[in-house]
Amino acid sequence: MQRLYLQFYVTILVVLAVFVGAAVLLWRVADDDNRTPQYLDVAAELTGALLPDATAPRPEQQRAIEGLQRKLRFDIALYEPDGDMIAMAGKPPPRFDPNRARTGWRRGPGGPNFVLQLPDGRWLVARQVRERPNPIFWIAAALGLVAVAVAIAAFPVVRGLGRRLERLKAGVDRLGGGDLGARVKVEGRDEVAALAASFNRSAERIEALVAAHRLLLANASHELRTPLTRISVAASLLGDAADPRTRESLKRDVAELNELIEQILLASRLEALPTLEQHEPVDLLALAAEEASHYDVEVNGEPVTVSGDRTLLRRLVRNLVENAQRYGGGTPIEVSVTREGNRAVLDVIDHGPGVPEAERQRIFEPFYRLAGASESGRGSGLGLALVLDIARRHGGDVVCLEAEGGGSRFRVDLPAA
Amino acid sequence: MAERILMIDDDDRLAGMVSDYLGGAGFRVTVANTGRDGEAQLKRETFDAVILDLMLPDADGLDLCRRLRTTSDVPILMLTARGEPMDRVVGLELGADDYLAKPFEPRELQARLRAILRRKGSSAPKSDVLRFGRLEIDKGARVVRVDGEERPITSYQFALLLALAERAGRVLSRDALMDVLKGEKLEAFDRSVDVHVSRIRAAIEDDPKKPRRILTLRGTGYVFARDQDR
Repeated sequence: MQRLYLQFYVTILVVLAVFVGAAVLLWRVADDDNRTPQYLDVAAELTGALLPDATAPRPEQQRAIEGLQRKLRFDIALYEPDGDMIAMAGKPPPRFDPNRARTGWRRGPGGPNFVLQLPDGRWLVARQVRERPNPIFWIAAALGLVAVAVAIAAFPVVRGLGRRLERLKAGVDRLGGGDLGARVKVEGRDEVAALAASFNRSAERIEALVAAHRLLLANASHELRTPLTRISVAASLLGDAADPRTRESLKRDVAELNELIEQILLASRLEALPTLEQHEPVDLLALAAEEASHYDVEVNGEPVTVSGDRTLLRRLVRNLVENAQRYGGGTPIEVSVTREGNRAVLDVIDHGPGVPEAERQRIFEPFYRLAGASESGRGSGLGLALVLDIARRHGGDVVCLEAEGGGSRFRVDLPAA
Repeated sequence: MAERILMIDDDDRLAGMVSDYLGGAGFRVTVANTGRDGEAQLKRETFDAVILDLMLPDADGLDLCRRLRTTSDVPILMLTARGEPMDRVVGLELGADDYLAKPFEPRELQARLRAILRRKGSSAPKSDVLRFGRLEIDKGARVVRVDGEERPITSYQFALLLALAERAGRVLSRDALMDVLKGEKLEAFDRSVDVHVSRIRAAIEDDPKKPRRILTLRGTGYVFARDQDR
């Protein structure tokens, strides 16, 4: 991940580096200005007047240079117009080439030195005795120091901003992860704080909405089942007064409605839950046998333990067997549990008309119905969608295949514990 | 002597029907439509059992159950519309003696009611009784009951049933079962586990040909069904 505070910080560092670099560069460019400043011409004239004539003997010239050196604290050398050294005081100057010399400042190894051509053609090269290093160095150092200070001062500010954003992100992640009580601390009074406050308000609202939704579901469940219970009790109380076939059909309808309510409630409950609530070891073969027994279906296979939510896995098996019974056209249903490597595989096979290949994916969509499936005796439309949801929640999957000899084979594979 | 039942349910018509039905079965039913009314009734009179709806207009059935439990040990049968296992466990932890998910059959309500009334009479501690829906395995008395009614099985069969029930929800091979039962005195040497299982089925299954409690897994063994109350 690109971290925002690092981006900010690197930007600041780059800006500082560019600034310091530009300042130094500018200094150098200004330094390289080749025009001879006026004052150096004046200095040359004055120096010429100060020194003995060119014709004076060399010791005299040497003395004059030494005097000058003491007064100015410059290393000074005096050359003939052709470059021969006449006199020198202080440290020796760098090699001097009159053909390339001009009056002016020059950078040199010992610091800037200036070259003056005296009115009589002699050259004077002077270099300040280095008590302090090069001014360029000083300026660069000062700029560098400022840059480092800014960099150090900027770091906590930028890091702090980054930290606050990261805390905000953690809060958003927690909310997204299903912890609807997640709130973030509102720090400061800037935009980040405003964002945190908006997040908190939104989270508040989401929590309230979900709570209302849950309450509605719980109430709907109660409200729907209350009349259903009355119908069920009333059907039983009819006793001999009613045709037993009517009574049975009434009971079946009640059971079907009840099942429908349960599936819808389960589907909505699962929607609100991102992960499994329970993780317990479940003997898949035993569980399948138990569920299938309610449909008088035998189960074959070997015991395989999976880890998960027993209630949901029960629902998965029930929906598959129910589906096989509903659409299998009364053909025998085969259920088996096997272990394949580290996967537990549950197969539910019927020998009904089967599912056309093009629709084998779509039948797992909620409320999707095969063309031509009869209206009566149909399920909630959620059965297979729930199967898929539950399988995926357990780290597995379900596919619809063609059974050997015709019909459908629903194959669930789950990670074995 | 008619047993006195207090039904706390806000659904008047349902309460009326249930009251008629249970009345016909020899109970005397009093109906309370609110939690407060129910509590007042309980203070005024003594009841042999309470039928309590989980959702009441003025109270949470779970709270009410917990409150009732602190003052009285009257058997409580919870009616829950949710039917979620979590709710069931919570209801029992709070002291309810049994629960029934709506919609229910009045016959089943009556059976459960009789069972908790009978249980109240017996002094067996609750923990010594394994319950699977309508089936009770009383470890202390070494008897098995369906709907509170004792079913005849032999001591060896009881041991076999207990071995299965204590491992409910898990597949047990015949060998594993024999292992568990090694210490039990055999009553007849020539009888295989399968024969004993079919005897037990005859005693405890509603339809021994379509077993719901002890299931056979061909080639593998047996499994005792964990959830028998659907």
